[in-house]
Formats: sequence, C-alpha cells, structure tokens
Amino acid sequence: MPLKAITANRLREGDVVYLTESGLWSNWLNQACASEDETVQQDLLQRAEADVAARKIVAPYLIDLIEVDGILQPLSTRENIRAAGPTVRADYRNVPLVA
Amino acid sequence: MYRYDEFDHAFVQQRVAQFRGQVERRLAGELSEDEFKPLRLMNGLYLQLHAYMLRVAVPYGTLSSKQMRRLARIARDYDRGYGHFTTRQNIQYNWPKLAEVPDLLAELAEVEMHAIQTSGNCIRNVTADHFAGASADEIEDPRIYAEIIRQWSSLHPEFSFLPRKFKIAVTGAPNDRAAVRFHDIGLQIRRNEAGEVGFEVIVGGGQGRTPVIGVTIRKFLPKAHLLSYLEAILRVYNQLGRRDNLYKARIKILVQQTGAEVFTRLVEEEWDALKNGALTLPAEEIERIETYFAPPAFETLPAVNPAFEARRFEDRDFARWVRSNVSAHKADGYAIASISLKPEGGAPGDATAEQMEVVAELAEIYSFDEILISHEQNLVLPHVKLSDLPAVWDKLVKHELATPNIGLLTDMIACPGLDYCNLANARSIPVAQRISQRFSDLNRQHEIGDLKIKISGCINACGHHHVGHIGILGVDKKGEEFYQITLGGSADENAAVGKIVGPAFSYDDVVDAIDSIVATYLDRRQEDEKFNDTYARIGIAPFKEKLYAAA
Repeated sequence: MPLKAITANRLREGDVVYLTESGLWSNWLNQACASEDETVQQDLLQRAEADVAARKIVAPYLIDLIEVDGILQPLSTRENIRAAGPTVRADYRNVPLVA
Repeated sequence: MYRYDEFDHAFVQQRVAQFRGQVERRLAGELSEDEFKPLRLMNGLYLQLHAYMLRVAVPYGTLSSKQMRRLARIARDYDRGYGHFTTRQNIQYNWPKLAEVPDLLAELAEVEMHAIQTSGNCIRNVTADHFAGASADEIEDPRIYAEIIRQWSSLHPEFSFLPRKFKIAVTGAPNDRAAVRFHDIGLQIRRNEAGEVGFEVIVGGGQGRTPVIGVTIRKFLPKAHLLSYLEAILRVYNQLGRRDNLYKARIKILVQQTGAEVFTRLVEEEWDALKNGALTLPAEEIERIETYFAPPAFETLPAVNPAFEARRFEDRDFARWVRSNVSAHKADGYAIASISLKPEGGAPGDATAEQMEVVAELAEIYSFDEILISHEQNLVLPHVKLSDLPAVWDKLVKHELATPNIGLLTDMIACPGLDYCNLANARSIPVAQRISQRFSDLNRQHEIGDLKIKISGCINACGHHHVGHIGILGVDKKGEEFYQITLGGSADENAAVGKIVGPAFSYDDVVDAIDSIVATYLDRRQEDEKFNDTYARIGIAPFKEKLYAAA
C-alpha cells in the first residue's frame, strides 16, 4: 500500500492538521503518523472519527505521501498547498515549501 | 445610500444571535457537523482548503466609507490582514476562526451588513452595474430596483430551498457592465416606445459547466410589476427545476429543456394569477427607495478643469492612469475613478486592511462617501471632481492602488483556485500573477488595448473564463495542472461564449501560450480593431497555427 497519513481541519479554528503517533493533531505534516499498512491506516481513520465525535476536528481523510530523506511530502498539488499554504504570496505561507 | 429600517435591523440582529447559539451548540457537541453544516452555510461560512471562509454580502456592490473601514478592521482583527473582492461584488475572508465568527457577524451588523444568502440554494446577493448612479449612459440607477429585490428576496420563505442557487443582476445602462445575459435573471432597464421606463427580462443565462446566454422572455415589464413577475419566474423554477441532478438544477437547464417559448408561457400563466396582487409596487414605494439613491449634491462645474488638464499634460504617469482608469461621469466636472486591485504580481481582487482604509478615506473626502465594487474585482470611486483627481491619484500611488490597467490585459478576473478553494482542480491566481509579470510593460499593455483575460480553476467557472476574450480553465490531468484556453467570449451586450482553441497547456507553458495569442492578434489586427473583432474576422485557425506550430 502507498504511504498514507490522516489530515483534517480543527473544528474551532479551521486550520489544517495531521494526526500524530501520540494521537494529537499537529499543524506540521512531518509530525504526521504515516503508514503503508492498510490496517494501521484504517485504525488511524477510526481514531480520527473518534476525534470528530469529540469535537476536536472535522472532515478527516487519508492522503497519499512519499518520504524523501526523512521528510514527508504529499503526492498531490492540492495536499502540497494545504500543507504549505497558498502559493500566491510568500507571507501567506504556513511553512516553506519543501523543494 | 440605502439605510436599514427597523425590519432590516431586526432580522440581521436576530440572525447573529441565532448563529451565535448554533456555534455554541456545535462547540458543546449538541449539534453534529452534519446538522451544523447547512446552518453555517446559510450564514456564508464555508470550510475551504486551509480554513473556514466567510463570504460577506455587499448589496449591489455599494459601500460607505464606514462600512469599508469596518471590513478593514475585520480583516485585521479576525483574519490575516486582507480580504478578497469577488466577481459577485462581495468580499471573502479566508481565515476566520469558527469560534470568533459570531462576534465578526455582530461587527458587520453594526454597519448594516451580513453574510446571509451568500451560500446555499437561495436567491443570492443582487448585483448591479458598478458605475451605477454615476455613468452618463444610465437610464435609471439600477440599485433602486436591486434594493427592492433585496428586500423581497431576503429570507423569502418560499424561495429558501430552490433546486439550486439563484443569481440576479440589474443594469440601468445599454452598455452592459453587469453581465446580465449570464445570470439566472438579468434585468436591463429600458425605455419603451411610449417613453416609460421598465425592464427587459432575461432568463436562463449562466456559466459553470454549461455556459448559456440568457434569453429575453419579456421585452418590457412595467416597474410596478417587477416583483410579481420575478415571483412568477421563481415559482415556475421552484416547481419544475430539477432536484435529482446537481448539474442540471440551474434555471438555464430548465429553460433549455422546456424551450424558451413554453417557459415564457408558463411564467406568464403564473404571473396572471399574481399580477395586480400584493406584490404590485406602488409608485410611492419606488419613490421612497429612490430617495435613498438620489444623486449627491454635485456642484455646478465647468466640463473642463484647467488644473486637471495641466497635470495630465505634465505628468505622463498620471495621464496614463486617467486614460485607462477614469471614465466619463454624468455630471460636468466630475469623473468616475476605478481603483485597480490587479497590481503586477498581485492576487486579483485582494486588498489589505490598510488599502481598504485608504479607499475609505478617499471616498469620504472626494467621492461623497461612496465606494463601488465591480464584478471584475476592482473598486470604484464613483463621484470624483476632475480637480481632485490628482490628489486621489497621488494617494493611490503610495498604496499600490494606482495600477493603470482597467480594461487592459492584466485587469484579469481570477477565482481563488487551488490556492484556497476546495472545489478547484488547478491554481488560478499564480497564473494571473505570471501573466501580469510577463506583460508588466504598461506601454505595451496600453498599445494592446482592451483585452479581457479570465481564469477559472475548475469547471464551475467562478473566474468567468467562458466570457473572457481569452479564457483560461484549469483542469487536472493525472494530478497535474493543465490549462484549456478559449477565445472570443464576451460578458457585455455582445454576449458570447468562448471556443476552445485546442489541447490544454501545462502550468509552465500557459503564459507562453497567452503571449502567442496576443502576438497573433497584434500581427493580424487592423488599426484599432478589438480582439474579438479580429477573432471574428480571421477565425480561430491563425491563433491555433501559431500556438501549436512548435509542438
């Protein structure tokens, strides 16, 4: 299976977050818990759904990733933009785009 | 300008309180996301790619300085210091926090604004000519009727759950700046043979995945019957519009499927039952609303101002700005000044809080406290004295608001695209930015002349690509951004839908493609021929040949 992690938006603030290994939600993609194992992925999705019920986050889903030199990167342009912020102005960005 | 009456105040305040309660219950877990989503959408609050997005209604695109200052304050206090003016004359905030939105709405209510009916399958904010009340070609101020429609359509119980969203535009001038042929209903103020003023009623226009030019179903509707006739159209649509297929739910599909003649008959039959009833507009009521839009107290001035002419003669930059951004006003000695939100390398329609405050101040001092938003994502100071234009321009220059490109190549419409939008397939804004950098030479832009490029990041066509002289549509090809180009579209009184020129271009190649199209045009145009006229004369082949010759 391809490498995947869970993303969502925080309910209260709306910002983009990723589920970490410890079960917290981080703004940093590289802290996401990523796995190639489908069972683990489904388990992550269940934990996310529990956090939807707990009113921490909304709209969780799995995204495809690749790991390059220890850095997690989304495969799609859409998820790259979600992770880094709009590409239109440097000062709008959340974090620098990974080269 | 219109001021809220007690009823307006009451319903807006009530809605703020309601939404505050709904947000509290959502955060407390009493409402699930599925239950809450339709409630937030009824208040213009979306969840987008990065964050929540709030769309605030600006009725018929008109703002006072006080309102603009409040929009600036909201951008600063609740968002990241900027807002985005849209093609529906609204403003969107890209980063509000859910928990703070009730306070934000309360701040809007204080200046008679809200976000009601900016989303959902209801009658959306009514748009109008952005030169309303100022242009010399106007028969009447369209905002009088847009306001009457606003009052009728706000919280209209029968039309709160239409098959799909519903957009109405009104223009009072024969030169259509409001794209009335591309709305669910377009109203064009006309004079009949007897000299009476009424409306040409156009129905079933729209863009999206099925671009359609609206059809006239009534050549002349007397003013008194405006609301009963609109109600008849909405009733027919509400009953017969498709609810089984999202993509076939707009009124344009109903008009196409029933045929314009049958559709007109159905409306007229419905109207027979409504006509002369409670919805008939008494002349006094029209007059009452009209007084809100009475022209400001213009001074009696000569048509020519020597100081203005002198500055224009001495200062080439000022003269260039006047050439593209200043339009004729109906009153002698006054002008309409358009403020471009399309600086080189900028995001079309974005304005910072500071820029909004500058515009508010200029409007207060020089334009009778009035600002208009154009559907082309620019701002307008409608009533500036010729003698004040130099001072206005000096201030605009200091705040990056004086780009002299209104109507020119870099005055592009672009939707938020994949940089912000959940529905987008490709980015729009960076394409606009790169085009504006490629064509940054202002002399060259002025030499090219009027040219409308419009960019959408998906088939929903929020960037109006179908009606661009050059349209650009972002598509996703196996995860990569590609751009399909159309030629020959037009949103004005010569309404036309653009034709696809050939295979799509990659993100890297799309700017070269635009360059090639412009080169073909310059090469083949005769004297002052406009782009669409050249295109009509020589056809698509020469553009195609040059575009795909290298491939």
